[in-house]
Amino acid sequence: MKNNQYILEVNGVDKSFPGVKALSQVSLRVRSGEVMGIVGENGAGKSTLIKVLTGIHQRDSGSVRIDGKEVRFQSTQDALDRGVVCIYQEINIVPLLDVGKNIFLHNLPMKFRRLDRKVMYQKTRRILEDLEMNISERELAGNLSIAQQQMIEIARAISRDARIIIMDEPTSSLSEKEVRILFRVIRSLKEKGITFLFVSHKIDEIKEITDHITIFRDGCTIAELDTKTAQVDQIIHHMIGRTIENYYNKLPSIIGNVVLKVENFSGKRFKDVSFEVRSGEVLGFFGLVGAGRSEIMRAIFGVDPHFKGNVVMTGRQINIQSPKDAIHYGIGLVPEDRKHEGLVLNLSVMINTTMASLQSIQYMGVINSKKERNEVLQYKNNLQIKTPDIKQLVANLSGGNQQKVVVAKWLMNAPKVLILDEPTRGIDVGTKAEIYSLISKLAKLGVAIIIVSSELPELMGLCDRIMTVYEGRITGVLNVNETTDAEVLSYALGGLNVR
Amino acid sequence: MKKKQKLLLWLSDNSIFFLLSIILVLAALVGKSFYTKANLMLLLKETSLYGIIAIGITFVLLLGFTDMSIGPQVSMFSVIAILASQRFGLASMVLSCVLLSIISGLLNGLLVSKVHVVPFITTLGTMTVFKGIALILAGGKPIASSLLTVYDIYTYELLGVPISIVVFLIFLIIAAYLLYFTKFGLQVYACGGNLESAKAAGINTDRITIICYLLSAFCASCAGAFYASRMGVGSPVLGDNYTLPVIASCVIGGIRSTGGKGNFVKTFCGVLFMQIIYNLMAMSGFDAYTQYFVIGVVILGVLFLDKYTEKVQKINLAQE
Amino acid sequence: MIIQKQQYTNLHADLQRTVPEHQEKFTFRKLMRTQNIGTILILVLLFAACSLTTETFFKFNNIMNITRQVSMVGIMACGVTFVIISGSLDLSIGQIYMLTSIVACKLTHVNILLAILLPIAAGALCGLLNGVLVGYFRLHPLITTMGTQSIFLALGYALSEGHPIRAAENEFFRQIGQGNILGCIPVPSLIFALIVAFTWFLLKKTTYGRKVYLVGGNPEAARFSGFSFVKVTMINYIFAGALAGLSGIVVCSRMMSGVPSMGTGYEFQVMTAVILGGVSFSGGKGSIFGTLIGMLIVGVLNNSYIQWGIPSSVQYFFQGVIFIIAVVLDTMHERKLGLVS
Repeated sequence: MKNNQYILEVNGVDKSFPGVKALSQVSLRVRSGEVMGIVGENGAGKSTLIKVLTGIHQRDSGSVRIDGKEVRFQSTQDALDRGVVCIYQEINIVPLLDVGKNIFLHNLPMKFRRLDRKVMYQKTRRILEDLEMNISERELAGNLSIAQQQMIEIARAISRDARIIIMDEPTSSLSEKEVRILFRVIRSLKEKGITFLFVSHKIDEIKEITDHITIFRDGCTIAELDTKTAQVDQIIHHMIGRTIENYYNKLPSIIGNVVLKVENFSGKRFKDVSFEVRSGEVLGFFGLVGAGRSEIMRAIFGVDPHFKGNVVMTGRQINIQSPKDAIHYGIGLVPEDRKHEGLVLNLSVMINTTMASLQSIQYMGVINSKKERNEVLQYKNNLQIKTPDIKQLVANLSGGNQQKVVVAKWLMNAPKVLILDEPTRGIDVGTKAEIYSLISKLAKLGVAIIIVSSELPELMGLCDRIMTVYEGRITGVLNVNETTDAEVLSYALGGLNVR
Repeated sequence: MKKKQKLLLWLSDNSIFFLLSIILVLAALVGKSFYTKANLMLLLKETSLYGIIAIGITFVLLLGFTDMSIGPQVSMFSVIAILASQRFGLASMVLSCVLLSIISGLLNGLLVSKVHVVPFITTLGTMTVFKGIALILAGGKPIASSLLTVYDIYTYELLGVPISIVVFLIFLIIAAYLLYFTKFGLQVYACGGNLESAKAAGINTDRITIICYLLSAFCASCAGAFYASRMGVGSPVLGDNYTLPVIASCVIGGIRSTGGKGNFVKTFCGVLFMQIIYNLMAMSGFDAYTQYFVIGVVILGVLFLDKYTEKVQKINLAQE
Repeated sequence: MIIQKQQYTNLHADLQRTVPEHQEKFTFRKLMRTQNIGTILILVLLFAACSLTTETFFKFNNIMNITRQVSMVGIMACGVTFVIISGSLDLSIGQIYMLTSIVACKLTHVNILLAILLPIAAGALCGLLNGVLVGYFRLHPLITTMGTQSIFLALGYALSEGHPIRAAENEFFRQIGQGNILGCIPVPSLIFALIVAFTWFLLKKTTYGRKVYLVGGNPEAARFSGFSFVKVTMINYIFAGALAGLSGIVVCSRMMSGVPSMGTGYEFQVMTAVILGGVSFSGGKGSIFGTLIGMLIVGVLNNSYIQWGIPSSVQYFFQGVIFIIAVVLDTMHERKLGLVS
């Protein structure tokens, strides 16, 4: 039932905050029943536009029309009433309530002023069937996987008769299989006439699921492309205003002796893991979400306990019981969740950077402020951390710059082994390239680097070798030069059966 | 979910029932004087007064918030009740308290919801304000009522059952109904489970917060009026030591301090449990300071329980 | 290959985009955004108001008196500041204060030296209990310290057998709470000043102080960087307890007696001072300087009640109102700066 009418028309919208113009003459038009991809670097204006469309902010000027009628939302409730729903990266469900209650939270079926549980669960079952989800309507939402919780949010949007569903980075925590399921659901909902705005950093997914792509840069809508004819280079070029040659920037490095050797390492979510990494080498760990890669790294770093196994550092067996030990022996870990595990958001860039290497800027317990400031400024310049001042709170930095602070924190310690867990998750293309370049240079300097990632192209571009992990076990060790994407994927899925 | 996990979860959720059983057996062992009609009646009357306060604060706790000011609110309302009885007669005692509770409830509710001050700090402040008001109204010391009939409210019996027990039971039933059968109740659980998500789903979290604090104030006011009637005196320091045990009763009854979990049956058991301990201590002749010590230890025990339950539930949620 | 630190700092990026150093100019706006500017203004205004409206406020003796009154709670507040910045709370501090003052009192009858050393140790022990429960067992700080508050209260009453006890006459001991240096500066005020300087230095300039902020700001991230929540929390509680012990000695010397009903309400005064001083209860934010200003405001206010002849019942009311106003202003200020979600 596709309708070529424009369901959403945004024309010449401006939005300013004190000190910054977030949106400048933004215009886009979305047809009913299509998926419009929205791309752009962090800070380009995507989130601000979403907030204007969902009623959190009011636009300064310009017009927004839904079904040809001018609208102005004063609150999220207004937007919801007109059928505009946004599903954010942070899942908005109530974990202690069950699926049915979560879906109908805004619109509980009532009978004689009492909650009509029977009707509610009936309706829920029907929706779950439509979405082909085989979970019980009485299951506690907190027990579901993130992908399933996302589905609940979509189900809630449908139950609200949403007409435009905005999805903000929906696939960042999903596995390959779950992304397939999500895309299938999006396609089937498209058939029913629901329009999607799909915001993502993952260009390959944008290419796959969208019909048109709108590109944001510096608060403006730079271009609108037809997905079928758009090229990846073209998209990136529009996003950052220049082309990136050699995206992964892999420099040749001399691979030296074994720095870290892990033998028969076993823990709660992994078993008998053995590998070694040499100085100057970039070793990748690839696997499905939940395969246990992060758990392995956390155990090596001492954050989680391990049951048995040895860790050998430059020939000497070491005993790591806590991160303090790992740091002492020269290991650094850039964690998966930088906001919760890597940074103290309400403290300054300076304090966050020197957090793990206080002993190098102190004398007899007293901090040498001048030395601290100088060191941090050097890292800020070298890594190009965009902030007006190092006393700026880390919370005010963009995602990419926050990640740079975390990296700087570990670099200050001069680790022999640097482990990066999903280093470019939720980071814009421009900063991603900078981080790849940084990794290559570190390898060139002789650091042994381990990267855990779910993006195979990233690993194939950066690494020398890739280890595949499946259900907590190492299933393969492959040389990047001698293997293909398909082969790595097959190992990551459990074995050689998939070709 | 594995069977063992399910069992552990069920145990931790319903621990209060076991605790209650244990204490009832203990009570029988301590002496014959516990299971006498007089003592049991006394116990029930004490439980009712405490329980009325606990019902109110349960709503706030379910939201994941706290209200440290309920103790002083009870004091304040006891003073107001006595003053009202002197000025306007017996009938106005309860009415004046209930009407004025709207103000105290609104104060707390607005500060927490609209101004977004952390509940613990807010109620720390309002606690002192209410105590101050109680002191000012009472002129610095407890005031006795000049009305001889002031005791009539508390001693009134409906079909042979003391009015305080009747009121407590009625409140309990209404509260349970609100929580389980109405939209409001579900919204309370939703806000307690995850405030942001509830907001995103379109629930007016500010309204829910204000209503819960109003309910808490309302219950405190009723309790205050009852206390005034019972002793014939309005005391500005009466409720100072109530806040902690009342909250502890709710927590031991299974209301998670983080919100979103618990119900009134368990709260009732929790209150009963604490009251039995008080009763036993009084019977055994513990002096006031030893009682403080015991209550302190009990509270720490409750905390360990809460922590353990949290751990079990976290493990449970982590398993997919 | 050995990795030299210098090599790291000499990295060059191909995509050179230099960011100019933002020149920090002194502007009125910047002054307005300084930490604690609001409370300093309030202190100044309050001071002025009191001086102008009464005859007796703006006298040297009275000012010294205020600092003497403030020092006891102030010493405690310095210790509690550490606890709160690291993300915890201590509601039992008032009772530790009372308990240690009774300990000091009893010990004056035995040995003066012990009366000066052991109460601090006793306070530290109380702090150890708090530290173990909150730091090691990870119990909720609010309710836990309310529980230990009950326990310390009971211990204090038990030790003093329920009534005030007299301290033994001793000139040296008396000087601690009632003496004057150079004839005019009260000894407690001096002790307070020294403690303020010491704790300020500890918090702002040492690696330990940095750890306190980090553990309070984000315990998870602090753990990933090698800090121990358990250690920091326990040390903070012990330190706070020890400082409360010091206060206990001073107050015992001041009154030459130990009063078991004394401790109630002091934790509220400490909380007020700390909040006025800009310490955030979520952790990671605050300073000793702020607490000092807060404490001074509380002290000036308490004194002003006496100057203006306000009865104690009204004082309670005002204390509560001021507390609420302070908290509301602080919250709104934080929201404006975008620091609160």
